[in-house]
Amino acid sequence: MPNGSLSSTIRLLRTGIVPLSAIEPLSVGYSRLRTELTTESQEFLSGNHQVPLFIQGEWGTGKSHALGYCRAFASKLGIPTAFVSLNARTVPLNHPQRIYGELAASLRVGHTMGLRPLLHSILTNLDVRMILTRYLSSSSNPLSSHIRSLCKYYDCGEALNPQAEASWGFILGEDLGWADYAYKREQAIERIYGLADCFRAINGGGILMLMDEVETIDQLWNHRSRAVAYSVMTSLSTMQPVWSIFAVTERFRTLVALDAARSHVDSVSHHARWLSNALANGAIHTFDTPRLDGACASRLAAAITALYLEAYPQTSFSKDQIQRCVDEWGKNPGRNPRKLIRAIVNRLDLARPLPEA
Amino acid sequence: MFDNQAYFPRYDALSTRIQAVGTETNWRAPVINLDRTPLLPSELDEMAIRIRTIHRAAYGNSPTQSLTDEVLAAFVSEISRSRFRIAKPRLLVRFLVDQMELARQDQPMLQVKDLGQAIQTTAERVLKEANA
Repeated sequence: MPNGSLSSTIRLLRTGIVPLSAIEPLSVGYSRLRTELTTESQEFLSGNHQVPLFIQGEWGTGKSHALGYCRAFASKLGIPTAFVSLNARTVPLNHPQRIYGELAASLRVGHTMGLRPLLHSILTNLDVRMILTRYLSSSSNPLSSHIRSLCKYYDCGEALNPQAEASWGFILGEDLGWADYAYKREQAIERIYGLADCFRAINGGGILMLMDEVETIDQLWNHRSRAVAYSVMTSLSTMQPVWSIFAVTERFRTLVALDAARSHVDSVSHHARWLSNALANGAIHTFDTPRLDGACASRLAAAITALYLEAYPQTSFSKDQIQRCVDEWGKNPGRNPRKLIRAIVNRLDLARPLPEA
Repeated sequence: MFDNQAYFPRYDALSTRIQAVGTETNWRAPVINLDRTPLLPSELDEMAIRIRTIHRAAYGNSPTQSLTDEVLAAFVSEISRSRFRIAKPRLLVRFLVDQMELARQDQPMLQVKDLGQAIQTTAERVLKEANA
């Protein structure tokens, strides 16, 4: 890892955030998730629909880390992954037209990030372009005419033709994000499906969608907004070419249970019951963020220390200081991994000499 | 901000990312508590001298000739002893600039016995402005 990214990694770790670049060495207690992802990704790439996965845990227990782990895992297999951090203001779950924009911006395979660079790299490959053209000629994909139009430009070696911008705009969802109308919502859902299906034609599976902060659903305007949000979740969960992974806190499960128990049948209770039943009967898989025991905590501390020393070799400390941090952390029944990461980085920060004023 | 339940503690996701870890001061931490890291008297002296240097660069040496290093040290010492709900660096900057501006307008030099009263007047004005 170059030194600049090492120091930015440490900067993020200081706030308890594990960046994608450090996911692998700092993932402790993930063997169960790795096994599940290995099996499920193989099935997904064979064309089988994957049931959604809910990553559960409270603040600081590593939900975002687990999503990052899934992303890194899928990315290695060449599965395009999109990461959407939901919030009730700018990217609410009941506005898939905003989600589409986030998806387009965050879609990633390897080091290629963003729908446009990704699609560009696909379209410049003649074999893949032919596969895509063949698929689009026989499908009713909502993106069909625009992607085919792009294919024609690439066929003629005119990838930079300004007239292609209209098609790019449509594919990137520039007509969606600004509007709150219900029909735009439907279009956004169809377009997510269409886009994922294009990738399915290429890789056999589709795309992996990772959604963080799903519990912000409880900040939406009212129960009608929640009904739409649930229906969006249901749509994403049942799309053949989309493998959805949601990170939720207990607050989300409580809200779903409350909405499912509403006495009168309406769209909120209908969708909430679907989610509640799916969670109960295994139609939705769940993964609880790993609880670190003493040995795992020591391993994590050692991995953080190694990263820190790689970034700042002049740090002088004793192993006892790090172990004391781990022991101190272990006394707290919460055993919050974010607190451990922050405590270790803090200890190493204090051990590193300050530059001369 | 971290003690009152109405502020950061209300947003657990944020507060667990930025609140202080341990009691020692980490200058590389996301948040540095300035109340726990006050400037030393020598640093306040240095600050006063630098402000005077800036004033002299702008208006020449003559208006602030009477504000010698010893006078500035007396200002710093009095401000360090004072008990107002204002950060000392802010009070020092404000008081010093006021004195230099008065000196530039040929106002009589402040007597040491009036120092406490003059600082109190500045402090009250700063507080009034802050609460306006």
